Amino acid sequence: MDPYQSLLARLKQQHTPYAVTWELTHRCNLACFMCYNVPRTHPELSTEEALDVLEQLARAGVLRLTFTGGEVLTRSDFLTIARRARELDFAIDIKTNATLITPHLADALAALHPVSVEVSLLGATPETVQQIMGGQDTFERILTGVRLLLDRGVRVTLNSLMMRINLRERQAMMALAHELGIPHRVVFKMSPDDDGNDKSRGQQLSFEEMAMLYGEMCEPFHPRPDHSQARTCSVGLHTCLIDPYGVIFPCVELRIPAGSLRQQPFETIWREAPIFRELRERHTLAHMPACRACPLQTYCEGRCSGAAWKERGDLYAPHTLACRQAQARYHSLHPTEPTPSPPLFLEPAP
Amino acid sequence: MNLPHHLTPRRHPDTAFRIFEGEAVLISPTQNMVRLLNVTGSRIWELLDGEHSIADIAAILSQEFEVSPAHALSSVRAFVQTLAERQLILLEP
Repeated sequence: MDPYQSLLARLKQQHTPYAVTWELTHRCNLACFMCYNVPRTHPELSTEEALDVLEQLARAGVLRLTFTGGEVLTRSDFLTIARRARELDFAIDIKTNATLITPHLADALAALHPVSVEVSLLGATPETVQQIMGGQDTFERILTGVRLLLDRGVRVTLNSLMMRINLRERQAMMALAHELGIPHRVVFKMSPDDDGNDKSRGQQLSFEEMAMLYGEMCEPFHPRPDHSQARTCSVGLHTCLIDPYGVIFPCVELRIPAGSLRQQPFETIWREAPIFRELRERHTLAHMPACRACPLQTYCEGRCSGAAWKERGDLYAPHTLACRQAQARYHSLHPTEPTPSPPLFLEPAP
Repeated sequence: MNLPHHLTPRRHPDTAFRIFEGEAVLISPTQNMVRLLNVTGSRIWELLDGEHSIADIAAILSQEFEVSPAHALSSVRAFVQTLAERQLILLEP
């Protein structure tokens, strides 16, 4: 294990907060049909509150900070917050749809020296992007924003959530990223809304479609170790999410509140919130009997307690997407063999 | 080339860092690199604040780590030189 990985392993073991994802706002200038944010009516953190949160995170030892939304650039104080974060020696990443980036704003973003700016690319044609994201001239504006950042030496990554509607444009999206000279990441995970409403379920790829994508990506796959203390992810160990209202959650998917920064300090919530304690103590395969019994367990790489919670109301249950992904992984590696069914698919639908 | 001992180098403002149990993790977005420093390197890193000179830092290290002043000075100079070459610090005040 390299020294950095070894440090991360130590931080997880010690439950040291290392990386925080912060949804600065749920406001957005676009209207992606699969967006999982459920904006509330009460006020988002003010500039003063956000700056105080930054101080708390720095004191707690957080190093990586990802600003996301909504669309972060709809916050008029975004640069104030991000500049202060850099003064406090955070390494920052920014997720944006890039459509609001002007030359002036691109200068300001470049001056922040973010580790990376992640931009969603949901299609390779204006028509598809418009259909998914709404807005006006969205495709052109995304590319303009990306180019403005690249011209200033900012490291940009394109993220493509693959859905039925844009699957046929996957090669063109890859070619576009290649032409721009930037990394392109493909993800499959369609998240139900924060309140559990799974309105975009119909867009989720089938396991055969996922298997095809796995085959195209040619990424090496190493089956996960099969032992009872293994964790399916590191949720609750060294990362967390802050929403625009100052509520802390274990991660972007798992919307069980740990506490509010308007009522308690970060460190108290991080150390004492019941959901963090629960995850740290019990989030292992030993407490996931259905997953342990699954014939595809070692091929499973997408099990997510948040998704299980939203779909089944059980942190330790399997869930449809992970089971489908495991089938896809198996099928991509053993195309001539019958693909086993996870126990979940043998149960009646919830 | 030996760096002048009166220089007061400072951490590059682009470099993000935290110190975990005495060990510094540096992330340089510009250089696209992550670096881990050992305990001695981390202590030097902490002192690279634009206030302490190379001589000051060597004197502190000599005391804290019980090494000879000459050895401390040559180690600090070499380390600062390496950090400067990797653009993790600025030599100018």
